[in-house]
Amino acid sequence: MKKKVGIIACSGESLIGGTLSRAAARIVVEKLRPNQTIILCQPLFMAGNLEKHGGQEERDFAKNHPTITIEGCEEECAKIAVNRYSGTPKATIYIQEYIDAHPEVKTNSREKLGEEGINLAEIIAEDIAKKVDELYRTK
Amino acid sequence: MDKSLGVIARSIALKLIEKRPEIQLICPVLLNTGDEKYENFIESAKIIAIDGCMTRCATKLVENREKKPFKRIFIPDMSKKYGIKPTKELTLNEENEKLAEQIMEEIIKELEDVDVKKVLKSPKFEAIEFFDITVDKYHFNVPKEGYYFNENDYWIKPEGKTALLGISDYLQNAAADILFVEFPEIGSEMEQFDDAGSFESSKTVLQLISPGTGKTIRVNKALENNPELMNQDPYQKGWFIEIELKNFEEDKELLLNGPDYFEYMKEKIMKEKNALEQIRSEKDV
Repeated sequence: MKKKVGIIACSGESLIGGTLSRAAARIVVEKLRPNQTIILCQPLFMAGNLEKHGGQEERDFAKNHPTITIEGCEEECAKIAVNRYSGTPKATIYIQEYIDAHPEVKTNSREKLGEEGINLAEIIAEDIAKKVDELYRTK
Repeated sequence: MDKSLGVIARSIALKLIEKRPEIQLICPVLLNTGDEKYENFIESAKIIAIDGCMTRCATKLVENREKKPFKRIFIPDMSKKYGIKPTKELTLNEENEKLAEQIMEEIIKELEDVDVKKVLKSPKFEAIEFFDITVDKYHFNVPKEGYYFNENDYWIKPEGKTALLGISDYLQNAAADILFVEFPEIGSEMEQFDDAGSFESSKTVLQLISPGTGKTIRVNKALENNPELMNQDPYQKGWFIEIELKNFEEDKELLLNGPDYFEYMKEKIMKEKNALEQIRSEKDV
């Protein structure tokens, strides 16, 4: 049986990169590849070992499944987290590369993506979906 | 974070920092990746944890740093309280925006009772090693390390992504007794060498010329009642404002470190002394 792919996005509280990474992750998991992917909550992943609803499941999933990290900024928190608790991620998407490649996209704010921001999140999501297809095929 | 409850939590946090710029947003994940960004801040700050769901990760991640949140907000409870259901869409709908706004206002109101400026404690100070020189009856000192100076005699002390700003011992000597201070607005942005507030002494009024580029996040309220702290302890208790740095590596290119500033200051003092002696001797003649 093919293994589902884990998607873990930057929590990026104060960054437009964080907002884009979360939106892109949700587009992949909810719309583009709902049957091939599982979203992993990064704060929960970091918290881990909670008595109830604990993050250990997230960590175990990433240990046993291919995982794609989506980084909102240069801190690479998602990658660091997966490396620390589960192993090396299979792929990493850097949101900044997309922001740099699409200077024409003006988001409303770091909180509100606006129409252009959502369009950019869809472009990013398409690329993540391609990665999902590669990883899902190889399993 | 993968659900709309998380989007509401994040929206509240962003609205809060827009409304009260002295509040600093903490990324709960970055807080736990071992990054030093929040190291100093978290020591002294009171923390509001905004949890989107039952896992209460924000609270948990704060507790992982051995801190207890000062206030906890749990979005499902708030959603019930205001009778607004979270949307399943990628972005918040009008109702959810309203919910985020209402919760933010509720937090602000509570903070106003406490006064957020009071919950931000004074920075911690440690013993400083100084270079010093005595000229006539005047004694001048300059910290050996940790402080950077512009040639206008203002210092900046970076700590991660933030920095304290103040005046040098030389400048407080030259200004004489400081009587009033005027701070920049919290949240105001400044470029390096822009004015960042002013102070008035028995001799003069001076603008603080910022050694760094950034945003004002805190002011030393103690100076309003005790401006003399700038004379008594210019490098520590007499700090003027705190800023969030934009790019200190770039700022540093136009600043002097402790040893270089000490040499610069000595030269300046000696020139002034010689000029003064010259004037006096001309008067005598």
